[in-house]
Amino acid sequence: MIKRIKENFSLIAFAGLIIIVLVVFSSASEQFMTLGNMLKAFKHLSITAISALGLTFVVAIGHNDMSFHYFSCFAAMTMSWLIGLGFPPVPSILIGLLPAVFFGWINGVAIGTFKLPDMIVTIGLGSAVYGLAYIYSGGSYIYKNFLQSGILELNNGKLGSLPVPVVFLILLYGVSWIVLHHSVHGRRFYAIGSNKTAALFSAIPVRKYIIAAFIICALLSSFTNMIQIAAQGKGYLKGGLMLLMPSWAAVFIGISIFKKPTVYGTFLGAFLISIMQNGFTMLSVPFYFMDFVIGIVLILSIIISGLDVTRIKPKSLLKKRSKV
Amino acid sequence: MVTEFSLEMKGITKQFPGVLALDNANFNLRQGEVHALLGINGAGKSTLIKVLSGVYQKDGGEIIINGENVNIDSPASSKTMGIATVYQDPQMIPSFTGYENIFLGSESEGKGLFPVIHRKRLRLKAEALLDKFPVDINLSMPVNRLEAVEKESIAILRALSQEKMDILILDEPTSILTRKEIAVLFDRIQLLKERGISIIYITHRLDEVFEVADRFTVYRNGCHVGTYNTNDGGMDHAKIAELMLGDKLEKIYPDKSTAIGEPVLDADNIRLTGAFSDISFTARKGEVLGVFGLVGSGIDELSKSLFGIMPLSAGQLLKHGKEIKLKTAVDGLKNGIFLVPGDRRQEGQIGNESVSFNITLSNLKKISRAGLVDRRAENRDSYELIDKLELRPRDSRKLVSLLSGGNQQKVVISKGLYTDSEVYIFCEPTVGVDVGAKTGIYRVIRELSKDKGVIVIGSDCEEIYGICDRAVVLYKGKMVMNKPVREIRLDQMLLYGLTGGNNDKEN
Repeated sequence: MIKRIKENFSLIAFAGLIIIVLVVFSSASEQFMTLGNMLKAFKHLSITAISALGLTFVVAIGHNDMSFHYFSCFAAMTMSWLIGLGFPPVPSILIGLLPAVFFGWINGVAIGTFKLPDMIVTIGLGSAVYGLAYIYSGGSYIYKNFLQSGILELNNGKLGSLPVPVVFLILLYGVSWIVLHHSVHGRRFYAIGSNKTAALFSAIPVRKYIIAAFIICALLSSFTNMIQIAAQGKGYLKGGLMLLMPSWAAVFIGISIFKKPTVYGTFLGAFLISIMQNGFTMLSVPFYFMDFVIGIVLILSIIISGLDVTRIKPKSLLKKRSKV
Repeated sequence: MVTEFSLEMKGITKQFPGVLALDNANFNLRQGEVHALLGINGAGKSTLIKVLSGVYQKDGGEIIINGENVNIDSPASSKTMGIATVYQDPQMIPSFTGYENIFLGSESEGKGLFPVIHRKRLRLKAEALLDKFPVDINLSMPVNRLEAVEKESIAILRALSQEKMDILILDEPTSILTRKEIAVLFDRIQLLKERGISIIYITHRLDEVFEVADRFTVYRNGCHVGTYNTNDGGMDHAKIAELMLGDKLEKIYPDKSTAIGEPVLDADNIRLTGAFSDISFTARKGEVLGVFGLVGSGIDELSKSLFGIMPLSAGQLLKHGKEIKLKTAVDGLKNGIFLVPGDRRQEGQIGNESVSFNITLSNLKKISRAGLVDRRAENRDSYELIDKLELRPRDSRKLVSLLSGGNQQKVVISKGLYTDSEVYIFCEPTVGVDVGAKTGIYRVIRELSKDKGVIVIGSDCEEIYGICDRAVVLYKGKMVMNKPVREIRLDQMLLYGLTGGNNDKEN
């Protein structure tokens, strides 16, 4: 029993943290625990969670991505622009996702094939793409056709009693869970993430997987930003920028619970971030205070996950052995 | 106090898990002599050096410097005793100048947050050093623009800049130098001798021993075999090779092949630019083909080329007589070739994943349906291999990084066996593996060779000689021997690997 508690300590600690957060917010605000707010919170959760899900693939393969939020701006602007031209929602979304695939592919090729440092490449390319999006959109809002086109259904629509964003949340998490945790591809993602050289020697097409991870990350963040744009009811450039920190925080909270990047860990991370975001909104705390909190949460979760990871690294084992 | 020896090491013992690296070993050094330390891989040379330089702590024995019994418990304490080490392929900061590299880490006497570096003072100090040891070298040049021998000189100057400096350890200093550069280095060693510095010189190249050393000591299996004068008549390469090997091999190798079958893999004049060239051999069913060469002879690259990781620059590879082209490891595996790589931790295993994860990694198709992994099949197949190779502990969920070296290697081999390949290449298959696991690995190799092509590549001549039926020897990227093992002696094979065979009088 004690052993099991020890093994699952981070999970128990996390559950405790969730309960504390819920209790604090519901005692501070009467609306917090209402059904309406909970549904709203879940819709909000979808946005952070889907973006963080894409990032999970990149982190699982052992890389960093600081560009997906920029790409999502480009993709959502392209979609908004197409809506403005009178395109129907589905083609606008699909065409809008194409540049995301392309940019993700460039990231993957630069990092996987040409072995450039991931941080620099993604920051560089991301900022270039953002600049490009700014130039072609002029930084202005796009309202045209938004209300008539039906794009708002991406956020407001319902499938049965479930809001569309929540349907996508369940769908994408389900598929990703199968891919990362039950498929051949998942094995290869994790193998590359833990030891790229050994993966190469195991005849895994490492480069293809790196490219795939960056494309998935760009795609999911772009898609989630389209939901967000639909929720706002207007196309605007900066909407995607706020995806970066919550996504990273969600992935790292997940790592700190399960010791490695996982689909379920990322979900729990996104869940914690979302209820905090929602709670702070309920208490009408200014948005920059949220930035402060997420930043701190990210650092704390890195510290916690770092502590646990080093404990199982072979280095510490060697030290022990040479002392004997 | 006047003593015969400036350094004496008596009865040094060092135990590692599963291996006795030094067994009651002795060593002594006279003032101002160059003393070569010889032995095959695993003989205990580098362990002795690491004990002396404070990297390892000895388990037993004593170290006496200038008649005084000393205790070396850290690299720092070794330095204060006047011992300095120049490692093989010395590490430097490429964009820094010679001066800066010499005084790296001791560039300032200042304390506090921002100690000031007095470049002028550094230069003066370096010039004083050059006065003492006149070496023709430009120290204001960034070291990445210098020749290999000049870098070596800077590494030596760095050692000499130490406050007290009586004993200099040179660990295979010539391995990256050209013939001409070696002559320059030997000149510099002569200079150090004249200044009364004693030098311990580790090398694999026997001609250098006669050229530069006054005496030499041979180690074998962690024991001191003997110390000899180089100008003693009767000492030649063949004799030294014999001393390094000993005369009897332990019975840890399986029986040799009796039935040699059809060819599986042919290499026809293959070349990898900068590593090896003009190599031809045939791996057949029923026999184990061995490739022996020193570190840097091209064996590591050869193993990677045969698997497709380092694509060949020229020549042909034929499997069952049909040409195959390998550009990546994926190609290699597709063509039925698998490499058990030499650097297990880096290249072989996913340490923070389980045994079964590793075993099935290169053939996930076998345990999946429609792309989804069937954990039951994974477990069943893993245990089959775990039992076949006697992996301990018998637990498919255990993280590989928590296993012993021998068991880790068995996991990597299992991963290979699980691919059902037709050609297996083993590179240094028993590095860091204890004797018990070694025997098991050799048995698997022999078993495998009955109906597969098996190539064992390595720098451990005893192992190659013991396990193989045919031996190919590489020397500086060239093939200098390709003969059935029963036609050659072990010391002959070693000699070809050490010298390229030019000094073998029998041929």
